[in-house]
Formats: sequence, C-alpha cells, structure tokens
Amino acid sequence: MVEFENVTKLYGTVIGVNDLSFTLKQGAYGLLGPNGSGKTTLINLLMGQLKPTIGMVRVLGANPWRDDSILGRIGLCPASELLVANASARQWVTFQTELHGFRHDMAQELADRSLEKVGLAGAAADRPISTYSLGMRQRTKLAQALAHEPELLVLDEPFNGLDPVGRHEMNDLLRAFVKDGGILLLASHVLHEVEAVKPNFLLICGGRLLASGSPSEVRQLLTDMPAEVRLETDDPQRLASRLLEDGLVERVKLEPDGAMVVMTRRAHEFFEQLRVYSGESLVVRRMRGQTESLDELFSLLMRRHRGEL
Amino acid sequence: MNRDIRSRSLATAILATARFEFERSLSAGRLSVMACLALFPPCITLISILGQAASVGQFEQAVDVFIAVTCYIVCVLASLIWSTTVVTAELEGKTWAYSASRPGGRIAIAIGKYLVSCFWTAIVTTLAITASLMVRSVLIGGGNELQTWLVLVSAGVAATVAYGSVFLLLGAIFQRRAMVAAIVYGLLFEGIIAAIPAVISNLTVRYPLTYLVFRGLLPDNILKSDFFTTFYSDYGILNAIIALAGIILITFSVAIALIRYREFITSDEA
Repeated sequence: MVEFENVTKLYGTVIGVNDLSFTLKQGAYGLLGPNGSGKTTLINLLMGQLKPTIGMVRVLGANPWRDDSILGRIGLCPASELLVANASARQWVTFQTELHGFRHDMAQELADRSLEKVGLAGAAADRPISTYSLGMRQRTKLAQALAHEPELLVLDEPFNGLDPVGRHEMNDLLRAFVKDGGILLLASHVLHEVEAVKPNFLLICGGRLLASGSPSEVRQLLTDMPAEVRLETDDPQRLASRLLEDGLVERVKLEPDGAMVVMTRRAHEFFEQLRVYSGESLVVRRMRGQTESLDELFSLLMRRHRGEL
Repeated sequence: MNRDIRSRSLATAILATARFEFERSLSAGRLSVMACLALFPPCITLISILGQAASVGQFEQAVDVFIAVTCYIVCVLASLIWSTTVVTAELEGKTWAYSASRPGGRIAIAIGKYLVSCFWTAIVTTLAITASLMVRSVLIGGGNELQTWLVLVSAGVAATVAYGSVFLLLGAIFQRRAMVAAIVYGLLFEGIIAAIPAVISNLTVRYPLTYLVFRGLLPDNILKSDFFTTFYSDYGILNAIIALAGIILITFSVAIALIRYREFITSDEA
C-alpha cells in the first residue's frame, strides 16, 4: 500500500506538490497531469529520493526516505532518457539487478528473463545501448524495473517512443502485472495512453491532486465540467439567442470571423438541442470542443478546485 | 518473488558497481587519457635532464624532486577528473534515478565508482613514476632507485586515496560545476595555502604528503636545514600519517553521508 498524508514538498519557495493525500492499494493507477504538474516530484517522494517538507509518505509499510531497503520491493522506470555509454542492455540490466543484492549469476538470469518479457532478447540485448532506438531504450528501462520482480511498479511516461505494437505489448505486460497482485502507478500526460491499462485515476496539476477515482467517477466529473464549444453557423445571432432562451449556455461570445464560442454545463442536452435546431434551418456547419487538450481540461479542473467554477 | 535469495549485502552492490564501472572504463577514450597522463612525467623528465646534460651529476636529488612534483600533478589531475565526477556524471548522464532507486544504491554507486577512480589514478601515477625513474636511471644512474620508487609509489597511493576522497566530497557538495570547484580547491588550498608555513597548511593533503616524500628522499643535511625546519618544525612522520588518515576519513565519511541523504534534483520538473 502507498499512503500520502498531507504531503507538501517545497523547493525553496517553489511548490513541488501541495497537500497531497491519497492511498493506493493493489491495482493500477494512472497519474495524469500536464508537464510540470508535479508528477515526477510525487514519484521522487514515493521513491524516497526527496524528503517531504510537510506530511508523511509510507510505501509498503515503511518511510522510503529513512528506510531505503523498501526500494528492493519497488521497480522504477524514470522518464529521463537512458544514456549509458559502453554497455549493452544485458550488462546494464544485470548490473541494476545486482544493485538489488542479487549475486551476479542470479542477476544475469533475472535480467535475461526480464529482457525477454519486454521483447528485447537475443542479439539486440548485447548491442551497446547508445545504438538503440528510443523504443528499445524504453524497453530496456522497463526491463530493469521488472527484473527483480517488484510488488510496486512506478512508470514515468513509459510509452514514449513505443510504436503501436510496442504499446499493445506493454499494456498486456502491465495488465498481467496488476493481475498478479502488483500495484502499478503509471504517470503520463496523455490520457489515452493510460486508459488502456484501465486504471483508477489521480489527476494532478500545479502540485495539487485535483481529482481521483475510478474511470466512471472521473468520466462523470468530466461530464459535469463546463465545456467550451466553438460553433460556425450562417446565423450566429439567431443561434445565440435560441441557446440563451433555452438556458443551455451560460456564456456566448461572438468572434470577429463570425464564429461563436459558448460555454455550457449541460453538454449532453446542448448537443441534442443542436440537432433539433438543424430542423429549424439553424444549421451548424462546424463545431469544435475548446477543452480538447489535457492542459485545458486541467486548467478547468484547477479553476473548479479553487471554487471559481 | 526472489527476496529470499538476495544477499542484501552492500558489499555485493559495491563490487557489482566497481566491476561494471571497470569494464566500462576500458574504452579507447579513457585509455588515451590515461596514456597521456602517464607519459607526461617521463617525457618532461627526459626533456629537463637533456637540457641540463652538462651538469647532470649535481642534479640527482633535484631530478628526484622534479619527478615527484610532476607525478604529483598527474595524480591530482587524474583524481580530479575521475573522482569529482562520481556523482555528477550519474546526474548529468541521467542514470542517477536508476541506481539511487536501489536499496543502498546511492552508497554502492559512490563507493564502487570511487574505488575504480582510485584504481586508475593509482595505476596512472605508478606508471608515471616508474617510467620517469627509468628515464632518470638510464640518463643519470647512481641513485637508490628502489627506495625512490617505493617512496614515490607509496606517496602516490596515499595521494590517490586522499585526493579521491576530497574530490568525491566536492562532487557531492557541488551538484553543478563540481570540476570548477575542484580546480579552485586545487589551486587555492593545495597550490597556495599548502605552501604557507602556518598551521592552516596542516589542513591540506599536500603538506603531510610532501613531508613524507621529503623524509624518504632527501639526505639528512637538507632535512636539518633551516629552510626545512622552518617549514615543518617538529612535524614528524606519525603526525603526517595521522593528518592524511584524518583527511581521508573525514572527507570520505562526509561525502558518503551527503550522497546518502542529499536530495539530488534529477528532473526539471518541480
């Protein structure tokens, strides 16, 4: 189990994470947030690489900052690129496994098994890492995280550089890890990458935990969020007045190019009504959601967190 | 799970690091740097002896001291290059996050890499001393080569361990520009302060080290001269050994404690 209790981390006067509280039990968790949101700080706190300024972190029953023996039960795949000179994947993964306290022969066996699991067996594993593609480096990173058979697996942006087949294989591997009873924490700034593992979500932005829960809970939360939609129609004034009359939008803004941007909290009804309007010769030629990117979504969540929405 | 078969020994992890680093260090680039460093003292010795050929017979001790000084510089340089970067190379190479996420990984990396650094520094220094003394022996002869070799190699090994510890500490303190800090330390402390005949020079590695070398190489009449006694007073071999051991113990312990407990920021993300 992983427990964060009112954890705040300050870098001087800069806030890394702010008053984080959550508990992770067996299962998969997607840690989602835009770049610079505090995901890596959270992971470093979890791995005992940073000491919380305030609050308490407990991982598998121990304080990771004080008791680093707990790291033997955790596998970490950091986001940073793997730059190891003069070593092959087999040599490097064996060495990383030896650092866990395994004898050389045992570490070599575990490394080979892990490299095979991530699809990097055979001659490729003996080539220098410096000659690897981004995808192969990603597999090597994952192999070192899995080799010692951890109970908790922490992956920071693990899909970077993987092709669709690689992503599919990685998802299968991670699902199997969770099925075997492990705890998986998967950090990413791309929602659909994480969704495939069917995790619970932790949504983090500006160092704050904005929302958490199962996929259905998060989906409900997102449905309830006010949505901004840009519409292009031949008669924007008439459409705006109909939408306001029907109480489906809270705000309408006419753009200089003739388009209009509306904000609605009743997205489902809003889209249904647009279909009705089309029968009244109020045709919408083009429509685009303004909150498509995760950054914008998190910006909305942040405003909701502050009570501005 | 394989937890039951783990030795859980820090020594295993240190040896694994040392072996991995040793294998990686056998690269063409590093071997060329070693060759350049090891060949510098014999070449400069050769040039200086040939330049003084007419009066070569009067310069035996001077040449020994000259060899000691050039080999000392090589030792400090090698140590600076390889020991200062123990932590910073991991941070800059972005491999720190992997090794530090192992139980005892930070300490294993620091000690394992320190041992490899000391090994290569000692090898380079010993090669430089041996080659320089061979040049001296062929061109001048007449000295007690074995004693000189033993004194210089012992001092070289002591300097390797001591400077290695000091530079390891500087590398642990200065996460950025560790090499610059080490060069400043070398010039200020080991270059200037060690040459001041005052108590403060006791805090440097060079002061006790040069005392031991002088005691091993120079004849009694020089050791009893005013110049020598003004500089070293009644320092004594035991004091010099204790001072060196103290510097090694303190700097190494502080470096390891710092590496274990310091928060190294490895990502731009805050």
